[in-house]
Amino acid sequence: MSFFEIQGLRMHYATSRGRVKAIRGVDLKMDKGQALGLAGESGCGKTSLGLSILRLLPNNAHITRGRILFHGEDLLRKSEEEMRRIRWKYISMVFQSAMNALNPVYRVGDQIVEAILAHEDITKDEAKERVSELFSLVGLDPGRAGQYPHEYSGGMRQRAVIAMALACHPELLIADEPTTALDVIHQKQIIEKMDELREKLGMTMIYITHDIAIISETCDVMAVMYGGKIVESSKVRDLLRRPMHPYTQGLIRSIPPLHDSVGRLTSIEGEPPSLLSPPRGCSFNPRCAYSRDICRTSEPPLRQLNGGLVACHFAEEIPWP
Amino acid sequence: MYRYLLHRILQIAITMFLLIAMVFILFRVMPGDPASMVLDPKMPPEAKALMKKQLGLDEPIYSQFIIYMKNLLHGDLGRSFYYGRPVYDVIMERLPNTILLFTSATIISWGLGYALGKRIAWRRGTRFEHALTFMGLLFYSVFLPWFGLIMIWIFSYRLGLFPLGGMITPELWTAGGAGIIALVLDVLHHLALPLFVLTLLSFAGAMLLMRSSMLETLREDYILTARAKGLSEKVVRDKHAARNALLPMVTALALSLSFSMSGGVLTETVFSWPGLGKEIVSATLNYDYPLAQAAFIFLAAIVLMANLVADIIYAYLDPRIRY
Repeated sequence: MSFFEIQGLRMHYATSRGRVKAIRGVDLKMDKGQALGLAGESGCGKTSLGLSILRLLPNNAHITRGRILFHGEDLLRKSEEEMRRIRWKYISMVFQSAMNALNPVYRVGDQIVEAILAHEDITKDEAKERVSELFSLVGLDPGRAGQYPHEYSGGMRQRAVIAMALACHPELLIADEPTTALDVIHQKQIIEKMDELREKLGMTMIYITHDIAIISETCDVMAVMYGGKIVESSKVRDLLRRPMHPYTQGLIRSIPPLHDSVGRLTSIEGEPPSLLSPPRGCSFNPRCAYSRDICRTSEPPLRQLNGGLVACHFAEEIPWP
Repeated sequence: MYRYLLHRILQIAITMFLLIAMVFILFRVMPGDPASMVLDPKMPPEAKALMKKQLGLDEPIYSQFIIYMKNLLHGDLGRSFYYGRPVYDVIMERLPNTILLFTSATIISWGLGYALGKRIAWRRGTRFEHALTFMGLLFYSVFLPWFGLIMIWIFSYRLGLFPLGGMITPELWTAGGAGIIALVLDVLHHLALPLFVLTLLSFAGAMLLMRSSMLETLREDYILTARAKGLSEKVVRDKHAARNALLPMVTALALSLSFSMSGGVLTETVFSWPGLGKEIVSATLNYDYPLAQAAFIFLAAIVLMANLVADIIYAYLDPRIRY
């Protein structure tokens, strides 16, 4: 039994223009203590996947198929009350817009205390004590717990949100673009801090980001999402050294190398697929330089190759310099 | 904060001065003449002139204004032409009646509007929301005097459950011997129907305001955080969403409360309620300059003060606002 597993998950949003198929069959497996980097362009379904796990999707979202297994139990079959108890205590999340994730009318410390008291039978003073510890842990002055969010800088708010996510010592942490709103210096500090904390606390983590550099620094495993599906996944080092899927190759070509001189950067031609009416066959085929007839008719399954997983009919033939 | 307060008070003073001048002029350019109401047409001209002189109406307008302002600054609102009594006494006699009816109606409407508004926003798209919104809008658009008269006809005339109008049963009060409880019950009995009608026709305003404010708040990221934290639905709704959605309500409520002091002219007429609204109409019709002016100035002062109070409450409710 894996620690955490997603099997054949499908989800769509019902909109006035039709069904937006945000997740079109996702499989994922994680061991305890692992860090998974989930990469992909905006609108590929990364965030929807994160929200599905905590069952925090908006009302117009419908999960039609699949299972989300945590310690072997299907989260999709839990009652609302059971789910409420799992949230934050076992699985917590750092949201994409951590800047606005704090309620402006309550003191930052109180918002963390509230989360702790919702799950643990301890006194308010003990919870406050823990807030101080958490603040020191993420590098914030515990004396500022009594201040309001607007009195914090962007970097401080980000740290506070991370401290809040760690408040109940969760087993699984989903971090959705936790540093996008920050400048590079703060980004680096926060990423390093989160990495350090993960090792120290033995947390399992899903890192949702479009920034492959961050994944390469912090994660063990990387999965690439495209058009609501995982198109490639393997160990980070393997995947960066020898990307097999044409889309992954394109993603990697579009980042400037850190150490070598900057050659030509290439972007991926075309637009991400419409999830309202995804293309037939492989969803990447309209943008793919290698696409042939079969790519337009048959959807490639995610299959084992070179120790990783890839969903491409011609993965063996596609070169990587 | 003190600088802000000082600034605001100065602003209020300037606004008040302009307003007083405007009201003063408006009444004097109004066609007609107080003398025609106060004075008997068969009076000899000398007596007429004497009386005009006593009322101060023989002076040119600008000196009338200066005298008026001087008295006002001394806290003297003048004497009512019609009642022959100090204006202040007349207003203070009517105001509590208006407050009793309209302020309680406003508070009940807003309390109800807040409680229903947050619930219908929370359960958006359900039949519960559609039904309440429809009902609220229906009553909100009904013409009050018409509805009031129908209610009086059904509940007071046909069913005899409530009095036909007024605020008290005079015999009960003049006869003596009635205990305080009996007198309070008598007022409540008179109050019930107009209060019910007013609340029913006005709660939708607050409800729809709360609904839209709440819907906006529910889109905020911190609501998602609150749910993710594993807080119960009720805590997310009340402590996180409604608390923030309340902010825009404060200003509207303060204004609504201050306007309620004027009392609905139509409502007070329909229910024969002896309040300020009814008095303003008769004072205007009677060319009772001092009374009408004072009533208007008084109401304007309340509205301006209520705005200030709303701003102060706002700063208390929202820690981001500091003056």
